[in-house]
Amino acid sequence: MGAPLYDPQYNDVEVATREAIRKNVISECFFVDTPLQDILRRYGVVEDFLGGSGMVEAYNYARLQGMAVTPGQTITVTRNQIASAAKFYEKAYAVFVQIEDFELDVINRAGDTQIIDQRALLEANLVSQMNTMLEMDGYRHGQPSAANGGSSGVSDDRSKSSNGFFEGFSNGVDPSPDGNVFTLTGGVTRNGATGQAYNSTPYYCGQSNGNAGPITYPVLTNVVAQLLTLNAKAKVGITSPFGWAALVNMLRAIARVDQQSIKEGTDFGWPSIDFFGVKMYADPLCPSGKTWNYLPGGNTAAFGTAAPNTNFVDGSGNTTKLLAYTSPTYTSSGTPVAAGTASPTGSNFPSATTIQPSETLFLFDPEAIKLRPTAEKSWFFATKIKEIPDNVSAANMFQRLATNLYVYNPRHGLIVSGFTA
Amino acid sequence: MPLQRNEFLPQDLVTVYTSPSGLIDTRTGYAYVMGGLIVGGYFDLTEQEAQNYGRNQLHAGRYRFVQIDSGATASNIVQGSIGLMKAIASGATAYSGGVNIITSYDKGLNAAVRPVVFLAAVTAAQVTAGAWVFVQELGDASVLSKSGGVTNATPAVGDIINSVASGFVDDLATPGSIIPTTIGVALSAPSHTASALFRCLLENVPIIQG
Repeated sequence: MGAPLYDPQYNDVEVATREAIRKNVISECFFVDTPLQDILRRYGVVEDFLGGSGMVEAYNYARLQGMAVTPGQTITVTRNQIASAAKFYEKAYAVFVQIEDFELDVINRAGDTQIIDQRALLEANLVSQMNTMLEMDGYRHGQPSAANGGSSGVSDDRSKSSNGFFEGFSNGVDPSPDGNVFTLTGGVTRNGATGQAYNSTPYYCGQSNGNAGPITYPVLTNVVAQLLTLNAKAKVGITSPFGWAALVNMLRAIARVDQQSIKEGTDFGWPSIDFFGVKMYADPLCPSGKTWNYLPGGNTAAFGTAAPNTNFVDGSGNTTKLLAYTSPTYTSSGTPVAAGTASPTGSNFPSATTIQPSETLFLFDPEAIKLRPTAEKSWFFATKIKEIPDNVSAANMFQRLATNLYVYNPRHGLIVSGFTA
Repeated sequence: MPLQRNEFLPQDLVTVYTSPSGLIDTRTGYAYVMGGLIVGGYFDLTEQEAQNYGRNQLHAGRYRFVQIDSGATASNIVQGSIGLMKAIASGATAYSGGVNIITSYDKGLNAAVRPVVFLAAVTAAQVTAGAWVFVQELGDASVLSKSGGVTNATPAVGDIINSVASGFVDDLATPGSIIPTTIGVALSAPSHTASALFRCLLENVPIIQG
């Protein structure tokens, strides 16, 4: 145990003058904003989960019969199934900390000696961590891995997390930015009895060798056109700050041609770009090939191993960092295509190639998405303290949230990836 | 000390702390006896938790917060070396000082009794000044083979691993026999040619309360 640093312990200045203390102020040097959730809430995607074994979302996937006819002819009239439903499950999140009330209540007692309410500091951190996990999970998937009973094509198990965009905006053939191929979502088999109706075909901006490429004006107009083809009016785009930079750079470079379509500024307080009415926002927690360099704890090669819990992780322990992966070997009419050949789906992914996902852009109509927090207050950011029976002063503090974020109309959104600023 | 998770881990599981709570009053140099670590507190961690709290070098297992014996030999306290619970290994029945004072392997104590695995090196100055560290007592531990590598010329996963002089470990034969100083079985093949860390599933290590 260390000896006193000085003898006498306090000098004249310290006895007579205390430090200038800024009470109740603490600088946030870790967490970042979570605009995805804010934007989605503002677009009205929140619908309370009132209970039930799951959340069923019905959809129409087929047509009935019709044709030009000859008056008087007879027709064999049949009926085929046209509707089915997806089913999503409520997911459970918890953030937690152990507290010790001698420290919190006796030492950190409210009054002149308290600089910051330590209990409030802990509770605020729990809320921030909860929001961070939800934000990061919102982009990814909520399925078990193939090894754990999930569908083939899913390599990482995220079954406890929200279902998210990666699995929602997929066509069951092309990979998501994490390299998974989602042949199922909400229990719906893509390209099966439902056909292609529950698909969303992504677009890859990269090259045939898998390296990233630029996001161009024609790419943007074409993906908007792709959505328009499926009756989707994209209103929102979410990308990483570097994806946002890529968009700004591209639009600025051609501004002399079509300046009126450019609007940089803030909508809802977040940096955004307006592209023909599609407002594209920057989210620091959006999956990215670059932001990990700057998010705390992300760049361990340069800055060393992060101390415990000084990095960003989602509900399944993943970061925002996107890594290279190998694209599937595509088939055309059942025959495998050559490596490097563009996907027959129109996604521009090269077949059987190492893909650099780089930056991602999620374009969608918010009406295709639901955020389903429980209406039960005990699982809605409520703090619960569980005493440790044989401990004189320690207790476990839990904050819990039941929710899910899922896509229930996949064709009303898509993922653009493989571009850099 | 009951099985519990410490309420506050000031740094991480590999840190050498200078106070039994991990917290020091910067003015007096005295330990804060609150809010921090508790000597003897032990807890089980999953692989993910151990990696997170152990600089990505620890694995699933049970970890205990202990005090280093002031008479321990610092040079034998390094990552992966074996230490002993002094009160038990010395044959004492009065548990003098409690079970949570750990000394180095070279003190002539009964090496078969209650080994633990050190997670980090301490300096002689730290030992003298007072050092508190986490040790591993169950699970998947990284242990350090003896100088020049293990005896077995063809070491393999599953070999019996024994503690030897100075707190290092050896693999005598494939698979080998369990002897009093056996600490576990190899989870990764040790090196026959050089002293190196390898992973070992700790077995034959009894639980002790205190």
